[in-house]
Amino acid sequence: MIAPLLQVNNLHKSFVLHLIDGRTIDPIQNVSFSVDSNQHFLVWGRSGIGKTSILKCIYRSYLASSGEIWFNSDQFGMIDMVQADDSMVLKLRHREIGYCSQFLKVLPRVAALDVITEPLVRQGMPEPDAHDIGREWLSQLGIAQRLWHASPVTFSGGEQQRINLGRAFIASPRLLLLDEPTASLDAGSKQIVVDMIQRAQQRGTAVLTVSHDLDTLAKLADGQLAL
Amino acid sequence: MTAPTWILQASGLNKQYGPGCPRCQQFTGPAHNNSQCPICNTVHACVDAGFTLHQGEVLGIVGESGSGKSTLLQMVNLATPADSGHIWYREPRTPDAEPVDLLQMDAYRSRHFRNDRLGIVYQRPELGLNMRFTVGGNVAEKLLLANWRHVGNIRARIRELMEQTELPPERIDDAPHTFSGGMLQRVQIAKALSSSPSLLLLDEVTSGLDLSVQARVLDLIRRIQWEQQMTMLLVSHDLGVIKQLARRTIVMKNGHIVESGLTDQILEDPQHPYTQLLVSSAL
Repeated sequence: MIAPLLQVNNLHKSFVLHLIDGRTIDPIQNVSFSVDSNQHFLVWGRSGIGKTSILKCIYRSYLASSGEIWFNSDQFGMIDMVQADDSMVLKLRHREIGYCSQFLKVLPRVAALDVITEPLVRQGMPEPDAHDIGREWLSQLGIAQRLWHASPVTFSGGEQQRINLGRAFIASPRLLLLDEPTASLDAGSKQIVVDMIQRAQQRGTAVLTVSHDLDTLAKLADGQLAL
Repeated sequence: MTAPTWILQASGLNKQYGPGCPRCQQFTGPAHNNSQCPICNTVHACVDAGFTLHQGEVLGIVGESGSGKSTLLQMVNLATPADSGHIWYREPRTPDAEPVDLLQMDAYRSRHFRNDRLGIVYQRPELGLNMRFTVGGNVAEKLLLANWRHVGNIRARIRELMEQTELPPERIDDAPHTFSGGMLQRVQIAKALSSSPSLLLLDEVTSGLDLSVQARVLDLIRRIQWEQQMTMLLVSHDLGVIKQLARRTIVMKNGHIVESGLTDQILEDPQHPYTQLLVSSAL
């Protein structure tokens, strides 16, 4: 039997707030699910229920309190993201696991073309080649050419989110974690996201999305988890 | 088996100023919010510190004033002798060679290593530069120590470094006091890079600069790091600076490392009470 690309077992995350009497918040308790290669898996539920925390535990922006998060790496075999050392996590982020946050956070002096091609350049692609690919992506994302050399911080919310998503998809990671990818988008932009997810799956990327936008994303999902 | 990628591995580093007493441990450290023993007045600047630095990475060290971060940096710079501990160094040009413990080297080898393999940039330019020398003279000083002898070659190298650090090469013979604060940081960076070091140490390099100058200096450092895959140890009390440059971060308080991890994890899910306070205090 082939192991899933991602296997989450009994994930638990608690936050100890030392500055507020040391009180504890437990947004995730005993969450388990698995995601196969090429699959689009949707985790949905109301705001504040811990959807983003799951993604961040997988990406290791959050430290899981207990449980296991097994990632089936192409290069390193089965890695438990809960126990892996920081260097291993960085290597996996570099090549195999991508993350798209809910909001774009970039330096206000970096051009959109450089923002979107950064993952390719980091992987060693020469900048002119990366820019050729980046220009194609910006066209497909409906970003006007006059904006390509401007910083995305000056863009509208929808344009920023499209740049954010483009940057996550462009390097074709094996696992892509999407946090509310359709929030703040109009109907046309939502369709662009749907197309990107489908094309990513065709390229072999598994997509794990957390969202409350079931209308747009549920029909795309091969598996679901309701929180 | 793949070869290890670390170039520096420090462990058990200690530095204290004073004789110490049996009760020091009882009264100092993060839990007591104190580095100085009230009984014997010994300052415990750095206690049992350790970290691993990989080739081509930027490791941030963050903490409040007096937390021991600059002491740790100066021990790596071999300028402050450690009381105990090890700093293993693996030469990236010869990765198969046995690592050497920098703290066991004799004075001659230690001086040679500092000149040849390390570069440092300080917050205050007068610490890194001789203000009585010209800018070119300052950079030349490090090149001469690294056995450069031909004047023409030295001046050509300095001009090249000035261009690389976005300084006007025609000002090679100007005195440092005629340069702005941001330009002096660039001169320090040019000097630090002159011997093509394998490790660049940065001590609060943008503190005291205005925001736009700070941004340009940080952009320069980021570009150099990317283009040369330079390994860097970056000390700052500014989480914004750490966030921009470092992938991994160490948090220090009262001479102790209280937390270490991926920079985004430190910022988004800080574990230690002090780190939570630090993150919540960011502007």
